[in-house]
Amino acid sequence: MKLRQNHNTAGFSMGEMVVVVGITSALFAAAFASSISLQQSLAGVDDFFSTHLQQIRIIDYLSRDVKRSYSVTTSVDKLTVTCTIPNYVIQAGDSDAGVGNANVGKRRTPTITPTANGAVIDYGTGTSSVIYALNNQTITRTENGVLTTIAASTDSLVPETIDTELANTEYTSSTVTFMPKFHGHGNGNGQGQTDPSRTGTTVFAKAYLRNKRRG
Amino acid sequence: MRMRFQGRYEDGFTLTELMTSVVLLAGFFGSVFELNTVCLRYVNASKENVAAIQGVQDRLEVLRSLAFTDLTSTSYMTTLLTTPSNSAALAQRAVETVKLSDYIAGSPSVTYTRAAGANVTPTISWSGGASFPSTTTLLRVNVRYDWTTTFAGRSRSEQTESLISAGIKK
Repeated sequence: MKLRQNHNTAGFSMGEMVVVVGITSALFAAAFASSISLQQSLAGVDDFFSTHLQQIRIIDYLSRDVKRSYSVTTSVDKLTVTCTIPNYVIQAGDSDAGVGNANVGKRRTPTITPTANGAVIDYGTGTSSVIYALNNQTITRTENGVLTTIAASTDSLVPETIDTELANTEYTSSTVTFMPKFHGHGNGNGQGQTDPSRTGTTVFAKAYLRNKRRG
Repeated sequence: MRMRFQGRYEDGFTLTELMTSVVLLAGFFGSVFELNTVCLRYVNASKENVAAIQGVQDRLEVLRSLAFTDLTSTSYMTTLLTTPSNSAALAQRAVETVKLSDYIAGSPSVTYTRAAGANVTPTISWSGGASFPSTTTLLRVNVRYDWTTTFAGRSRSEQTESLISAGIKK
């Protein structure tokens, strides 16, 4: 009997295998790297939107308090804003609370005195102090000693406010910036206030004091 | 002498097969990165929308605080509208339209149109008269931004409206 010779022993040479494995590895590496980059990019986009909402919320808070203030002062570094707000609502213990605190919860009616520089509005009682400040990564609002955290994040949110007082009115110009996850410019650590990646996120807002309005 | 293994290594991919695979790969990676690009453009579009909302609000905030005589003064308004409502880049890219009209009558009305730019004198268009009569004590104020988005070059607009009265406000 003659044994049948097996002709199916042909395979790939070492050279072919090396080339194929090399190309396949490169393709997988590219696919893997691009997949990770995409995930990071999508996470960055998601983070951008959520921080964007925080910016708007901060502006909303600040504008509301500025608009109802008697006066506003800002620190030199523009990071601390102090609002002096009249007590619009009668509270227990106030001189005008009435017998049995009958007037508690009611809104006060101001006296309005026209002057050459607009109206002077007086609610007749004490005032509340609201202070906005940036402490480390946290933006806080303190009203008569009661502290509320407005925003706390690792996005390095920075609110800056300038107060402008004119003869017959007063307003604040505020900006809120943050450091996006992806940034390719600036001083390397991305924390500089003039970093292009940061300035590109700026939200602007202007608020006039309602109690210092021209007639 | 006959070569051993003659023709064994002639098997391979044809140019068509190679081109097909390259095109498929390019299409795959292209679509993946296009998706990423669209995401980044959405960020840009979102920034523009927020800037527009803040822009019209800031303008209205200024108008609301004006003396009523200044609000109804064409020369004062022209000077005021020369500069954009705030420092955002979009405020200089958008076409800003401010329309003041007598409330409730709706007439007369004046429309200031500020073209895009850093320092632009607005055009003025009156309807139903050439000035507000002294009897006008309430104005409807409409502020509108129109701009072309960086996202696909679409036209977008944002507007806000309010009533502003004469007299001492609080």
